[in-house]
Amino acid sequence: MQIVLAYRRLLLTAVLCLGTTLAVAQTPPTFRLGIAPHTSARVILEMYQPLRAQLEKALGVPVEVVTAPDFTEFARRMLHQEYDIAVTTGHQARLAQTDGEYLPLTTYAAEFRAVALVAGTSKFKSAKDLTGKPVLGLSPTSLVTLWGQHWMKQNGNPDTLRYVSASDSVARLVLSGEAVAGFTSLANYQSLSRELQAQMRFLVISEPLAGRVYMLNKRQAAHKDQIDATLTAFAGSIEGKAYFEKYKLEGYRKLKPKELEAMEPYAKEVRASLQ
Amino acid sequence: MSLPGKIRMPLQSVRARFLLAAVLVEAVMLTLLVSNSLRLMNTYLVEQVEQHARQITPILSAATVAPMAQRDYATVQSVLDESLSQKGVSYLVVLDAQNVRVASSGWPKDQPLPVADKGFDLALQSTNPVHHVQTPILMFGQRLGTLYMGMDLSHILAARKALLTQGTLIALGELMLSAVLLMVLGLWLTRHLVDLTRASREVTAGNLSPAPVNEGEDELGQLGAAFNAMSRTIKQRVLDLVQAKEQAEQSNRAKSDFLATMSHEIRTPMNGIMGMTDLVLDTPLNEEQRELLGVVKSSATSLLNIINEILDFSKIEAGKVELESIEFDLDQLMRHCLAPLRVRAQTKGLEISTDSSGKLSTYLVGDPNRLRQVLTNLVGNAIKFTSEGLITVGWECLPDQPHRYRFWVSDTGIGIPPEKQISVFEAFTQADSSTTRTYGGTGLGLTISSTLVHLMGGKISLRSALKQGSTFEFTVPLKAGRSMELGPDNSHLPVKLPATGDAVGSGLRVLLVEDHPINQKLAISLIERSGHHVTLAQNGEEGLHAAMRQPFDLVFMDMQMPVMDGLEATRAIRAYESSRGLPHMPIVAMTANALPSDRKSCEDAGMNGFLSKPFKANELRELLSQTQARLHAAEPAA
Repeated sequence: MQIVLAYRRLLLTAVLCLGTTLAVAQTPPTFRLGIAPHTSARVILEMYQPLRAQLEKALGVPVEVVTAPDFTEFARRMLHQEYDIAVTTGHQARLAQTDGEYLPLTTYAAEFRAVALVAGTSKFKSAKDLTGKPVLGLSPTSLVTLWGQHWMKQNGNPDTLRYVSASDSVARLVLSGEAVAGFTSLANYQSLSRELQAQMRFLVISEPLAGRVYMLNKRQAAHKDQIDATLTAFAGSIEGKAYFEKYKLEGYRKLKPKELEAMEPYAKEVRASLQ
Repeated sequence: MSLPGKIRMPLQSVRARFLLAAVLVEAVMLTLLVSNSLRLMNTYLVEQVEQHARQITPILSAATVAPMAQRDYATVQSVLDESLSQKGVSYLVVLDAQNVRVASSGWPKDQPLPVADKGFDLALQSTNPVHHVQTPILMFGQRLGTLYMGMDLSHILAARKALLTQGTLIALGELMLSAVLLMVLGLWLTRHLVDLTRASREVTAGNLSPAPVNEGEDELGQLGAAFNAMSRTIKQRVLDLVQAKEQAEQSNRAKSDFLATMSHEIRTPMNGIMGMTDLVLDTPLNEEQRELLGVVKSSATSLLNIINEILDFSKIEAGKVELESIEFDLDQLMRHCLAPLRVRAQTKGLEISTDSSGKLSTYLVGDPNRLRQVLTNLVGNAIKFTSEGLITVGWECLPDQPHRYRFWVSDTGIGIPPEKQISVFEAFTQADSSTTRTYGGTGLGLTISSTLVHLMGGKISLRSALKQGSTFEFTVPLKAGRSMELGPDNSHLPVKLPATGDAVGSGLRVLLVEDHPINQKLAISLIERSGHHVTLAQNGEEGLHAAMRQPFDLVFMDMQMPVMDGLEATRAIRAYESSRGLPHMPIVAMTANALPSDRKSCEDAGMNGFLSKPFKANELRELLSQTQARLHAAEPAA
């Protein structure tokens, strides 16, 4: 009897799976634009809608903007070839290039710098001042977190960072006193409200780092020129200009020679954490 | 209005109909009320469900947007699980942009997802208390997936069911309460009608003074007042009618009395005239005197016939004709009836032949005197209107109706023209006005005959042609009787006369009880001329005393006398005889009262015979000789 029931269940599952497969097969192929979770998912979705529309129009296929709960998961999905274009920080772009065979497309013209934020009223002036106190990072594999960890270690603070999921949360947690400092990108700081910005000050600002880089999955290599052209067209369009203006990204620029290779040390740490 | 005791159908009363109509109207209104409440509640509940769905879906959509964008399906699952704990949500399922089920709560994973309801009708959801909703998860125009949600309607359906049940119960309760209240109200309102019905039934049953019904200012009170007034008027009218009826009956009685009196008063002098004429004719007379007296006697006889016809007609008009039902001998009746008529016919040179055929019963039961009267009238007419030829009188028993007899009288006379035949049976009608002048008569004979035949249960008809004669025929029902031991003709003396046993050898001892001097003289002359002895008593009392003093062979007793009438005197004589053990003297009534009821009274009083005034001399003599013959016949035996 149990065998019969098991057989029936198996048969049902097989039929359902077939149904699901057919349903998937019937849906048109989707071009997936994966954005590293440098901010909240809602902000990311809103931020990349103009580009999604441009790509959809140009490629003639549905395009969806997706992200991940954190940088580590993003890197893992990226290496699982889940994105047709992955927009991520320099060190993960390097990882995608070396370990996922992604092709570099472009990056933002605006400089990418990591910053350490503290409350405007605090008296912290060095990394050592933070020793033994809670300091926030985004995720263990995010570039600003890795840079912050390096900076603290180089300046005599061996503490490990705490991780939060979104950069705007970093500012709020620091202001609420749950942490004394937090690392985020300068661009993220600039996207905060002026009121929030006014209540905070920088403890440190990094040298320019490779910012978010557009990496093309190798299965879309045949469409690279078309996609390059689309990105260029987007940058020249009204929507694109408004987009760059709103997020202070200053347009696209080509990657400099060896710019991704310079991210190798950080990429190595991501690779290690993924293993 | 229904009669007392009649079974009343449940809906016959106004009260029941009013009650039924009111309850029906209320039932309809309550049904509308409850159904409308349900409809409004349905609408409200549907709006609530839809509003709930509209409130939940954006929240769920917002909660799942970020994890869907992050493809953080564990978070989506936890969002669904938490949301499912809310009341009103049956299941939640989320599909990604590729329609792959990524999170599910409350819906079996191995079951296909339901199709979303296109509309929402609570009535159709009664068997499936889940409302299926499907909504895309959208953010900034990007479809991230699809949310399937089941709205749990079980509590709404339960509320609706509770409302329906409670509404129905309340409606039923209200209906019952209303029915009771209306019944009480109906009883209160129609109590006057019930009172009115009771009073009307009493009037119908004959009580003209029922207890007055209630009066008042309202319509029913006014109806009661009108009924009371009507009741009083009816009572007065009935009393008036009763009074008028009594007056009419009194007048009728007076008329009847007058008729009887006239009958007696006219017959009595006629009796004197005819009797005295007979007496004179028995004396030595010359031819001229005898002829003149013959004319007097003939005129008196004609006058008596005319008076008899008028009296008969008056009795018919007054409905006073009484028929006898006694046994008689038909052959004898025809013989006695035709004998004097043959004499009349012979004086005109006519012949009367008889024709009886078929199986005839000699003894029949009926009214022989009335039968004789009709036949005498018809044959008399035939003689009157025939100058030469033959008159035939026939009778037979109808072959197919053994108790019905047909009599006919044919003549070869002047005949009756067809246009006059219809009216010959009407009163005071003869075929021609000159007929009366030519042939005489009152013109009442055929009317009387026709009426008597009808009273006897028969029919009379006429066949006639001018100058070829006429045939009158009638049928009457006559039952067959048993054979009787009768004397030669006892139609005047229907009861056997007993013999006293001590008659005087040379003549009878006769007691004459009579108050009228002329009748006294006539009777005494006739009796004494026949060789008998007469003792005269002036009234019943004297007659009684005479009878108590000595026995008589025969008593002639007048009916109407001062001091003591004939009936009372007869009863007293019979009582005296019985008390002394004496034999009964034969008592013969002698009266102008010719009605059958009078004869019955005579028999009841103990009389033995009946002699109608004005009697003829030979009738009286025959009676005396019969009595003498009986006495002689009784002597040897004694």
